[in-house]
Amino acid sequence: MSTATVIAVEKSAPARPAGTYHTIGLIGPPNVGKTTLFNRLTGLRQKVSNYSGVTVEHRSGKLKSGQTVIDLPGVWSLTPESEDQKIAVNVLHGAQPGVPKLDAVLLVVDGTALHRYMGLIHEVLACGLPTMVLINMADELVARNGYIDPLAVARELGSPTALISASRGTGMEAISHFLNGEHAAAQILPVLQAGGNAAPGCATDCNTLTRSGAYRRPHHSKFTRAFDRWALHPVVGPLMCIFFIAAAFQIMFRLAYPAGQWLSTWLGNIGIAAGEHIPDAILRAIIVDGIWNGIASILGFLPTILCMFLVITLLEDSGYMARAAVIADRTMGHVGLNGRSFLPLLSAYACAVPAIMATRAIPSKRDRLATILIAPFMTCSARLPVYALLIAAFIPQRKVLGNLLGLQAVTLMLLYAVGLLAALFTAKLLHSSVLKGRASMFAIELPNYRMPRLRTVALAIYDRSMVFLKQVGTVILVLNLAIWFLSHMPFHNGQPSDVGASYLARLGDVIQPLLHPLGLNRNVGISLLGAFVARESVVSTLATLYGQVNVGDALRAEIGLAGAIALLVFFALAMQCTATLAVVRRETNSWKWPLLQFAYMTILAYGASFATYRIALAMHL
Amino acid sequence: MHLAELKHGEKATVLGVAQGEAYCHLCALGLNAGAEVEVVRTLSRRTVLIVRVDGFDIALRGETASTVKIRMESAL
Repeated sequence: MSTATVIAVEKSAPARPAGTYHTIGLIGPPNVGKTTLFNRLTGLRQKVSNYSGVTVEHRSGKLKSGQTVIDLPGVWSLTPESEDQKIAVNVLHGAQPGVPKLDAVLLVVDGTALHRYMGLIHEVLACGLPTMVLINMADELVARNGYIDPLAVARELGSPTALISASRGTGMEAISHFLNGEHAAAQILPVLQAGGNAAPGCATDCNTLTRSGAYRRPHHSKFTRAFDRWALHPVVGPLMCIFFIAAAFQIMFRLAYPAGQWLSTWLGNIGIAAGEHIPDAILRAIIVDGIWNGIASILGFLPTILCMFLVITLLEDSGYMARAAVIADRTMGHVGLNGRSFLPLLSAYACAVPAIMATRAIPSKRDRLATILIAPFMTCSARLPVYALLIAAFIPQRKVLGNLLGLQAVTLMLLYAVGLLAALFTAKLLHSSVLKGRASMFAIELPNYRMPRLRTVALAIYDRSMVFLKQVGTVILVLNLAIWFLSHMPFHNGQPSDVGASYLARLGDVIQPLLHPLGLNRNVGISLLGAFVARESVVSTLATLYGQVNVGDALRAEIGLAGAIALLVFFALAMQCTATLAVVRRETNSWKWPLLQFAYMTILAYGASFATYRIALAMHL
Repeated sequence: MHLAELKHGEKATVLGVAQGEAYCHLCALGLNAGAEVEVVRTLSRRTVLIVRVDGFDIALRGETASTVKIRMESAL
């Protein structure tokens, strides 16, 4: 059984001519290696229609043979319990707008826990589409003293069945045989009536299979039990969780952020060198200052985002994330959330957009909404360049706490804390007001630990990079150009005007009265306007506005320490991200929540910033 | 008797899950009628239980566990 490739077909029916399955659905519960199989089948011929969570977004890809595979969200049953499941059920029934009707289905289950998936298997078979049951992790089943007879399972289910190992790539030929109609799709037995009253997932068990000797359950791995003794320990568990998160941030700040800074300087220098070959001064200014410099400064924090996602993917693929959710559940419980919100909130440290997408895996609608509403408070990586700029300019490099930490590092930690506290406070507020209700339910599987697969991790990182680069190439590019033109128009005799006399400056004059109480000036106001499209653009906008002058020096002279602290607080709390607003609108399917969120966060940011400024002034800072 | 009442180390058989928000989710995690359960660990004063269901571990909140009806092994 080392290669574990068996295709079993019972009850031959007339074979379909090869290639008649144009659209194939890939369905299965979460954490059974469905995404790994999808990646293996489609390689890089994938189309991610949007920002994707791990198995959250619905993605499609092409097989080598040209057939389309749609990766459905992970489901436990076909009862629409969460958003994920609703989409999966709709696609399976050919009722999802914009998704073609399926011709065949590949159903992936975890062979090490086959008894748990019998309900789902029967529900999917009852949909009546030609279906192949893929029993994944066959190698692990055997390694752990389990046993399965695929022929007997196929006979029992009345459906082609194959043992595969998605991570090792065994059993793939069985899949292509099935998809090309070379093996007859077995006649589907109406095991369960679709939509019947039978309790989904509960009606069937594996007793027949176990009794007939076709399936023997394996043992929970010894390593998993031994490690869980510590990972879920009341004292060691939380410490371990904090250790992993701290390590992630250390790598991010010590390695990824400096690497990004270096990258952006290097790209900037390339731009200057290349610009010398452009004879026309205005054209050079547009290309180098308007386009290239902005892109260079933003590409500089690609390493930071990727680093955060690398750590998250590693934690998730290894199985640790479920334990972290259990550990976090208690803290989350205090503010009316549960452990399932942990992963989205952790992702929000990189970027709120994929974090909000990842909330789809939260079964409770109320918890999901609360998580969506608080996610933008977490300090996303787009805030970092601005924090870095202001901290470097205003906070002296002094040691505190007996040389243990630098004052600059402490300030940065405080800013992270401000965001986190605002998120927890808001969750509590929501829980006792608009989202009132009973304590939420929390139940999560603790999968076996396993070595993260290089392929899975690499593809997740590749996905992220592509999404980010697309954003840089479109929205941010256009914004940079727009700001450049606004800050250089109107042209006089073909010469761009000074920033001080530009359209942008006039816009700054309009919002100036609002910013005066926070101790901020016109240039900061203008850069904050630009930040609505991309937070990180504050740095490049200020650089454009101050021309050749060092931005840090200019700000020190103009807004002072009190103004800088007020700006940091405002920036930590304000909802300044149209991409996030757009994704909240889409995920909640209404304008009500994003608008409420925007108003709430802006008022909170303004109020907190005003209070900070007044206190700072009173302390003569 | 329900799952939240089970003490550390005790074994029981699941009789069923009460209808409600958690129903399908718990069934999918293996808490079907007839499944054998054992509480292998309790966290933060029983707010979270780690339960072994047919050889696999799941974690669930005490409140959620109280929707699972069980029968003690000894009562069989």
